Amino acid sequence: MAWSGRILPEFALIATLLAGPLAQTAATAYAGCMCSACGYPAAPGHWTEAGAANTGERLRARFRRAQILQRVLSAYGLKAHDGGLVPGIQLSSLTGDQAIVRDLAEVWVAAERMSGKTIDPLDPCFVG
Amino acid sequence: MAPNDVEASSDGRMRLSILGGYLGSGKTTWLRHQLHEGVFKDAFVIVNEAAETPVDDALLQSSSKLAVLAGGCACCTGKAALLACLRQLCDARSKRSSQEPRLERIVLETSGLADPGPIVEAIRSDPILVHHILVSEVLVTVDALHALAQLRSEPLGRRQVEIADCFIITKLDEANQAELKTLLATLQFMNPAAVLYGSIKGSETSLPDFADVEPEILPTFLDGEAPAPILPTRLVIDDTIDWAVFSVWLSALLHARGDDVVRVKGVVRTPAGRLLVQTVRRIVQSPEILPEQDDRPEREDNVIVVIGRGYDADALKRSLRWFAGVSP
Repeated sequence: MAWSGRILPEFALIATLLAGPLAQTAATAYAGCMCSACGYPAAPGHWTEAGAANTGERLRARFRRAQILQRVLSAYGLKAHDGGLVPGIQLSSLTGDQAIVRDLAEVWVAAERMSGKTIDPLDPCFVG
Repeated sequence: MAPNDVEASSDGRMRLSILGGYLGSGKTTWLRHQLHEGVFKDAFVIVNEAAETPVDDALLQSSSKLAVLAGGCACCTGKAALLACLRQLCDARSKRSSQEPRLERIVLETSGLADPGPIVEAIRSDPILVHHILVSEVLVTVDALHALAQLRSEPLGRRQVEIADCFIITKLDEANQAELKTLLATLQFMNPAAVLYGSIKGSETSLPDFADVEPEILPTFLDGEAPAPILPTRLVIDDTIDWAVFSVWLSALLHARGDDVVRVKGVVRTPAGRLLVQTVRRIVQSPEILPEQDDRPEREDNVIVVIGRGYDADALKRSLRWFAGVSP
């Protein structure tokens, strides 16, 4: 679920302080894992965040992810930003529309709504 | 649970349990739990995967006797390899006297693209195997979330259902109850002789009562109307593709093509460890962190298999390279 509209940085910061950046990930940490006896442990949090093992790597991964999103979404007239301070990814359009989304799955839904276009990584602009 | 409890067969033949089911329906999850519970104790497990890069064997390490047949479905292109593997097991067993402990059971986990029917037929019509192996049961896993949609559109899904002796309905905890009951009624209508079992992550679970529910009337496939074949594509995750690139790309792919990309699986090395990535349609399982110590060759990591239709395999590779910032 995307929270869209004008971004209020003060509100986002307060929400972070109250809930904590890991509040959402802790709740979903073991969603979809095997039974504890016969499976291997599952990476906590949203699956897209599974590649980082510690806080530093997680932060670097967020910056890198925003960089890639920025490159992809620029083809649709959108900007992506993740300053690393508040949870979520910030999207904005040239017309001033803005949204904060929780994870990558929500990025594409919000980006399609904001741009009015279908985003497909197999579109000719991405495959040459 | 479901498998027939055959300790020693009365006719001296080995019992073969075939475990089939559609892509991502939970075959390996179910089998892994059974092995852990000792249900297939002392059985030889054969894992068949359509793609050249197997993944499921990494999850079945609790079986001490395991063979992998990768790179072709056992019902068609991989049939010869399966028959050769079974003959080897028969040869090894024949060299032991009947007084010695011998192999009594084989479990074959088919690829999600396989039709168990031709496998049963091939074993029964093989002049050697027919004297050594009896296909004792065909177990078919059925995904409670996606099976109805698959039965509507996929001829393969229907063939798997029609041959089953036993259905294992998986992912019960995630299913909508009304749709689940319709699925159960439809399965019973299509194959009234098969027994139904429920499962959550491999553990047996009771099924809801569906006696008063009507089965869904599935559309008839006309000639030439069957969908394009589902094919595996192998993608190498090289040094230019880190987890950020991969996760951005895969999330976009599943968002846009989740109906066509039926299954994605593979092991990706990350700073957080060896992550097992598995998807079914748009649902992504929390990546499991596999142990570093593994007797599988190193080269099999950082390879992802995308199984689906409706796209060009080369376009997948070029798109991933574009996301990595490398010229396609």
